[in-house]
Amino acid sequence: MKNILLILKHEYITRVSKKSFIIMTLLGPLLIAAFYGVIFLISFSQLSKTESRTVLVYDPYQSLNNALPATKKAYKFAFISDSIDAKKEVADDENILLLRINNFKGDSMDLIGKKSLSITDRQELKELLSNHYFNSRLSQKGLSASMIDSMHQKIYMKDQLLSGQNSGTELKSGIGYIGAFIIYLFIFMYGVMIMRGVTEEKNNRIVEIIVSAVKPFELMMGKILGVAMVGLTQFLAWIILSGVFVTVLTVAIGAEQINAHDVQQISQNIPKQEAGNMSEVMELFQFQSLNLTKIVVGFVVFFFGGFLLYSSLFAAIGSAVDSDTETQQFMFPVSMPLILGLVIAQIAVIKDPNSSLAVWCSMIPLTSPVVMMVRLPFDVSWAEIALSATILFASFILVVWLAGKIYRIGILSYGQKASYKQIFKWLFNKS
Amino acid sequence: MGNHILEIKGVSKFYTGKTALDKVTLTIPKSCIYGLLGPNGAGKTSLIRIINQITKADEGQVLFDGEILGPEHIRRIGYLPEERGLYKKVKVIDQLTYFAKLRGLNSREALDKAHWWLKKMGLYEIRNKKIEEFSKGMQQKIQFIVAVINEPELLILDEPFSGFDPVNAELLTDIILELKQKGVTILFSTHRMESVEKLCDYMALIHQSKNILDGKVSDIKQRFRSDKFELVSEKPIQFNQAGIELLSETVTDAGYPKYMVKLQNMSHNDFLKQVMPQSELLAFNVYMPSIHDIFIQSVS
Repeated sequence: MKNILLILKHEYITRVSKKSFIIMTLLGPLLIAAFYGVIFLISFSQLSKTESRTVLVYDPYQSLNNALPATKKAYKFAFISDSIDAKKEVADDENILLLRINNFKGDSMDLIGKKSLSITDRQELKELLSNHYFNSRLSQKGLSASMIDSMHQKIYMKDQLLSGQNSGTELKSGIGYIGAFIIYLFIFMYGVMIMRGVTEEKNNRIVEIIVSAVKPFELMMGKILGVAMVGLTQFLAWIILSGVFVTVLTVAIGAEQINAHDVQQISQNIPKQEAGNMSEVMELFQFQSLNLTKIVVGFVVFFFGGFLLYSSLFAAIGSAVDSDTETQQFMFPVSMPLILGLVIAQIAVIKDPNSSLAVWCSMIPLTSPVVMMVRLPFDVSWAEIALSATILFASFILVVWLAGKIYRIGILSYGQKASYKQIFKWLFNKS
Repeated sequence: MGNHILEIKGVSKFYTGKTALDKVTLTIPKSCIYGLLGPNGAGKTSLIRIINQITKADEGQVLFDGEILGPEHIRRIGYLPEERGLYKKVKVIDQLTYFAKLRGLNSREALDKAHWWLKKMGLYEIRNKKIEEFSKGMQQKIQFIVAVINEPELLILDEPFSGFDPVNAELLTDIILELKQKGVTILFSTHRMESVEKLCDYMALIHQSKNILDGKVSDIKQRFRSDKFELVSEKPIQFNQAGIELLSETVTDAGYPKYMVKLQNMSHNDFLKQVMPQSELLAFNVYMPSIHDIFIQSVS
């Protein structure tokens, strides 16, 4: 135990005092802040973009009955009688589009532009036109504008739980996914760091001096725990620093950019079914629907459990190979379940956090750290969390024991190319 | 407390499909320099790893100062591995104190010892620099400090002179002798036989996993002397008497005839009486085999 602590301390201090660590710790949140800043700037510049597109409508079949859709959002409409002249205009200006209606019914059209439109822009245009057809056909049947307007039923749906709370699905998914992503990132970054460290010690033979003084298992555990502490330090620093930077940046950019006009535009941009219900949007930011204790406890448990489990695998890989380049063949099967976990988190859990796929994957130890994290905000029962955590830590003990066997022999085997066959032999080595 | 720092009794080590050590038995007395000799791959490193408790023997027993070797003896053993290596990005002083603490020293002791050795080796000024900035020779010296920093009673040096320039090799030799004076036992393993002749009091020859010869270097040499003599004379000599066997005839650098003879049931004086009338003798000495010769002889 004393030796593990000694190694832990050494690993921690040497890594934390490295220039690269300090630079990354300071730069990380700056990058995150810059990332958010750029997103902010882009989204605001998009929203406040006054440039509108002119759609030249060529309608030889008179399907529109000489009535143009009203100018709405970013689209202005104008009839033309000659599509050949219009093509020249389109070629001159990328904001001019040519819409050629191909039949009387108006269900077949060609949109010609200098550049292709984005999916959302095209969707918007299609919606605009189909609404226009719908409205004009109804008015042809003699309905008044106000009657037509009343037919567009708006629905305000509030997602509530039996307890009366707002279910806050978006917030829950967001928090779960961010937590899962942090676990995933942490395991990869620091797992690989452990692997490199083991290979380094093996390569320069330091390991011979160390294991003549401590047990290989103690060395491995000291390393894993030491690096875990380094990672934790870095993440804590990042969280604190990014909080500071994001606040500073948001204030700096936000003060300039956000004004009443933009807020109005944001609310206009929210898709129809949600628009208007600003109270629901506001409730998104209320944390009352979250069981914070469960999320925080769960995060810490699965964060460490997952990290310990994977890093013992990474340590075993590091001990089996002679150089970083040889690690690839072993990295693949170890990183697969981790990546799979993230994919399942993205698809299954966000769709239905209580689907059987999500539940099973939150029990299987190699995927559970990531998948369970995404499920956590959706009120997973304590019993389920405890079961999953027990499985995770039990398999950690099993894996660390197996990894220790590989490690013990691996670190002292030089020159032979590591293979699965070799590693299995080490696993079943009796002594 | 016995007189032996290390007793190795019938130790064997097997790897899949290969025997690394085959019932090796050795006793290593206290405060001596003990040479462990043998060609590469003979099993020296396997034996050293067992003594260092890096691996376990599959058969046999190792006693350290009369007790069965265990983790409590780590504090009393120092080790310089054959393949050298240190953390490249870590400061010299941090490196030394870390290894000292791993061997059981407390922080204060570790720092004191590190400073003391750095001064002795003339490396005190660079204690806050990183290893990667140094020449190989300097790294070797630091590695040597790692081996001795815990003031071991048994110092194991695996090929200690490889990579040292003559000046540093001299420094290292002096330190080894100094340590021996203080009562430290130095076990050193090498395939360079000639270094053993100069330094070692005792030796063992390991060949193909077996210990084929061990004991005091002077005794072994005595045992292998086999009544051979070297004779240098001014003029050629005829050896036609019974009891004298001429083994070889060469010429010295100065151009004098040089003979190697073996005497059977004939005293030195009788032999000299036979040859002295024939020529002025320039040299006559008992031929001592070199360790290398002994090795070749024992192996064949």
